[in-house]
Amino acid sequence: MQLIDWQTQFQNTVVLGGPLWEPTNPVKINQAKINDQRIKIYQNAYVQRLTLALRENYTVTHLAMGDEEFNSLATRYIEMQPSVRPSIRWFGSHLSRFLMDQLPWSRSPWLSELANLEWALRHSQDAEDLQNWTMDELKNKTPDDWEEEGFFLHPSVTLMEFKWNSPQLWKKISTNDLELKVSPQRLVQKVVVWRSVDLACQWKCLSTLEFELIKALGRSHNFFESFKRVKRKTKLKMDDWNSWAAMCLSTWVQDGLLVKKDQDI
Amino acid sequence: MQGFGLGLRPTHYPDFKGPHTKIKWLEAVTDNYLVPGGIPLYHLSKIREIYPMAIHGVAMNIGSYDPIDQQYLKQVKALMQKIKPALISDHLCWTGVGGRKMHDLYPMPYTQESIEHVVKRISMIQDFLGCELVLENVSTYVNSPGELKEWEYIKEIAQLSGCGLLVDLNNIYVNSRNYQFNPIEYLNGLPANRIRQLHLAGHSDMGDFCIDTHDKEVSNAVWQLYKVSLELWGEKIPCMIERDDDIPQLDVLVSEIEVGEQLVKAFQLEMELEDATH
Repeated sequence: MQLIDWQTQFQNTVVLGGPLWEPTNPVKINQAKINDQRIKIYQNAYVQRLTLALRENYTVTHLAMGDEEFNSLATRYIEMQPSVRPSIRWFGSHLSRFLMDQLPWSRSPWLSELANLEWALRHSQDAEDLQNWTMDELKNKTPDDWEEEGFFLHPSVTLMEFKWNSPQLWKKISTNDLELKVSPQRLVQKVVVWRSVDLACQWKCLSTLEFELIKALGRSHNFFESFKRVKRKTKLKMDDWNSWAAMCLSTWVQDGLLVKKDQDI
Repeated sequence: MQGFGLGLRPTHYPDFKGPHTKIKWLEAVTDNYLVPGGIPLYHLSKIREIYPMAIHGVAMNIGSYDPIDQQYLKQVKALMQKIKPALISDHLCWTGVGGRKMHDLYPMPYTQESIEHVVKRISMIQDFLGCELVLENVSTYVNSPGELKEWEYIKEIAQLSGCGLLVDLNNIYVNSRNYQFNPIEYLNGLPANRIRQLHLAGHSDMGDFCIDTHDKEVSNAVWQLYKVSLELWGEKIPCMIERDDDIPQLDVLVSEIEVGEQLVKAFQLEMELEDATH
């Protein structure tokens, strides 16, 4: 048997079932029978391993759904979204979209949001390391230097918009906090997910204005330009725009959300 | 890299903040660290400052008829440059075709065509990485087509490609049970000069066959094979306890290392006595 035929047939049998190979030599019939029994080891391992990978990447979504429902989701996902990347760490990258599109889960949109939040948290764990802006640098450099060096979002940062209270549900489930009385309900909110300097992966809610400002900064990398754009767009009357913006910037720097450009680590 | 080592698992990161008297080196799973940065690489780099290290992959897909994944190799090379491992290994198997990744170690057909295919790919990979690639024998459950015995197949690949071998004694035992051959014949058939590392692990005995689960202590039968390996290849080859599931506290694994050390001591004593009597 040619290598290409063996591998194609073997993989198809693992994924789709059926006999591994039909022996033409009668002496090999016993071997073929054994193969048909033992190919199940590979078939079971395939589904179990990918299901486990989904559970590990989506621990809170799994807890929210329960074993039976999550296994049913995993089985369908494995069938429709086979793994195409060498590392199993990336398996499940489309789960949030899948939950949004597929019945019955699409009837509970907060599940898709929960999965999306988990994937962002997962991303924050192993996103690239870059040197953060520090408060000392911020104080000691002039606004011209700021413009020169630019403000870039740390690679671990994901800015997210939710229509449900999924972040609060995530908190309740992940901390197993029975005191927290949270059930799925509509709640428009903006969230930033990131990895702090001390390697803690976390999220926090932002006001709409702060969210718009950091989003604009992520695009332009120029603080003053972003500030002016947000101020112009919002038409809000605020007593002290400047001190609000300065507060935002210093909070982001302290949280480790901002890095400089042209880094070679 | 000498003596007994252990597979590095995240649950044991806090145990490796300093050197350990029994654990001389660690083997990290390559694929867990092919990420841009962050927490896994932070721990790996810190631990590497203290321990000699091997990196051991599961996704090179060396036996597949799919093209070699250049992007994957670039990531492995970047990790090598960062960690500077003493040894880089993967498995003599295939893990998917047609672009699909099955995340399992599938059996090669033991044919000349397959040997030529794998040898060519090993050469390309060794050229790219700029070092010797070490390949591990895998446990399998179905009869592969082919005219060669598994150890004949491995020997020919090692000799033609110049790759090193990571001999997993548990996998040999599992296959000997699954295909009814003598595991000592297997060990005798391997090219001693190409063996770079040994793995010891546990399996599940299902009665008429075994499954390589890597979730149990090393069985007596596998320790017996380790004794044979000492007689054949000596005690200089680095040896590792490998546990992938149901990972226990570190001291449980250290107690397995101590069993291995006892066997090495007994072997050394036997050699000394033999020298003295001749």
